[in-house]
Amino acid sequence: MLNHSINNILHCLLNKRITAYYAGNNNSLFLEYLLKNDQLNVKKQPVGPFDCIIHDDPVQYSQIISQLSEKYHVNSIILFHNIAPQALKKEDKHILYNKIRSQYKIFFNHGVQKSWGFPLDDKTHILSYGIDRVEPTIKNKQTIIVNITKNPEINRLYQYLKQSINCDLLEEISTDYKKTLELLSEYKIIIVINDPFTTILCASFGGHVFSSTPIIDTNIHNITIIDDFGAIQQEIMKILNNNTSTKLKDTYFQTNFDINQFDVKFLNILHTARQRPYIYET
Amino acid sequence: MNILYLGPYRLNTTDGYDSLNTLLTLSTNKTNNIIARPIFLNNQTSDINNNIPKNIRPLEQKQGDHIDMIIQHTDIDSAVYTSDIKYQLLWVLNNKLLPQTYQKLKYKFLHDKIGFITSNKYSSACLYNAEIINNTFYMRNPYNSSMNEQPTTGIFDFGLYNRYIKYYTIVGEDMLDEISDIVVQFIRKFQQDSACLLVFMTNINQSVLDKYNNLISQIYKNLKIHHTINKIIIVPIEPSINAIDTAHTTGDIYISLEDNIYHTIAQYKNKMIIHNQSEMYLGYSIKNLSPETTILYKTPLDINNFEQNTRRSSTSLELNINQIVDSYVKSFNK
Repeated sequence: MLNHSINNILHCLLNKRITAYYAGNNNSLFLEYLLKNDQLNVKKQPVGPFDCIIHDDPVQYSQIISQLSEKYHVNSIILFHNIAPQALKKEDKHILYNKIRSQYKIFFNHGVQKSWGFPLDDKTHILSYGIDRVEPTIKNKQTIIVNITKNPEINRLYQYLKQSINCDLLEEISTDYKKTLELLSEYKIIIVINDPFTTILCASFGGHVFSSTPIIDTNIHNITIIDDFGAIQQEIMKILNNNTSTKLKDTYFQTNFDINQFDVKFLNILHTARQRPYIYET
Repeated sequence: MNILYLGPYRLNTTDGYDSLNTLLTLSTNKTNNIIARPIFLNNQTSDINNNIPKNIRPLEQKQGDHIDMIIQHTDIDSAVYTSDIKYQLLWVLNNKLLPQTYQKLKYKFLHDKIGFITSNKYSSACLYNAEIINNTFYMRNPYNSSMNEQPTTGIFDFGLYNRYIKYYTIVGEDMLDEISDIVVQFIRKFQQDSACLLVFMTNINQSVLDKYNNLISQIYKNLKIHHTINKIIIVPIEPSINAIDTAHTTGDIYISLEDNIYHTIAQYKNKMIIHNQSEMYLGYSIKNLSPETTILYKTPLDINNFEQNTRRSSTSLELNINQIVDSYVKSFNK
């Protein structure tokens, strides 16, 4: 069924359950969590009516905002997972802000919000991720690299690593989302590139995480930030040989990344976005 | 009754102007609860009206989990039918007389389910072509004075023409035949007088302006009238409340080409009005026009043929939006 802007307006007014269209291009565990969330209906195609648009690439979104929001007459929620790219100058950020200022923005920690330099206003929110709990498992597997986005660079890293260490690759998320989490929790070492949510999620399983993304939470000690993955083998061997346990108490993640709290706050933002009529502002 | 109104009232276009007027009129009936949502059509986001009256915003803030009636003011492609709402009215934005085949199918689908609103001969002709006969309401659009919270006292300055009697009309772009007709009449009748003709045109660009100016030159040439002063001026204006108001304040005698909101505003402002609502078929072509061409006018452009200080009373067929709502609900429940 084609999507009509009027159908979307009616859907916002008349339907209780929120339906969102994810207009981004990225596969991720965070998106998978949204897709599986039964309090909300997220679709990856603009088929049938929906109440809002979710996008997770602010720069890309700012270039297509007119077409999307205007065509569908709904508000958008832009997710900021990562800090601003270094190549983005202050003026570029200012231009970007002006393009998306009337839309809703969620930053997943204060550090990320600060890096983009956007002012805090009624459409800007800072939210901690919600981390799903997984029952503790025996970590009898060595190393895994997460490459759900099927990035060829990450694949090359995997090819390089498996020559010298026991290393697996995760490219697909199981239809049972929890099974994917349980699988990851069996590994002593998880390598995550450019994905802050998956980094924190994997850290909550208790193993060690090597990440390219600076995670600004000094309480999480089992994450090592790596700039140059060329030397990662030695770092991995150190961890495996020391067999050190830096497991944080479960309560830290439960308290600071409470999934129920995240659901409530996230849904609230979507609810506010859909209640507000879509008005194109110059 | 909870009424949801969807229309282009936030656009700075002729349709936006009509829509805003309709919405304000709807909101005057306090027995109904009006919820408003704007529509932006065909990527017209360069034509946003950033100065809508402040009493519109509260209508946009309202939510409604129970809607009794929906009024869609949109093009046929965007119009929808929903089984969730009992009463549904559609006012089609369409100035093309002939709907395409797939659009005709949509009209047919909607015909049994919703009521249609028409407000001028173009949309009436379009509905006729789409074989929509029943369940149609003709709307007379009374001017809602709260549209212009700050009435203008300005006028357009036309230099030496300021002291002339200014005949004027206000049209959109696609009125070539009608404009030709009044230009021919004006030149033949008033060229020697201290009068000028101002044609205020909304939504036009330079090439359209050139087209009309060439037309005027052609008419002068064909009628073999030499003139040192061009007394016919095409004036591009925005379809904004202020510009329309200023046009009416500037002109002296309004030439009404159709029963539309500009006509209504002219009545409201007590302007002298000449009705020139002739049929579109002119009976002559500009190419073959000459001083000897005999032209029979259906309604001649005649200074004696004006109305002043009289509001045309509506025929029993013409209703305002609130009357249409009541009428439709009554007929639906019969």
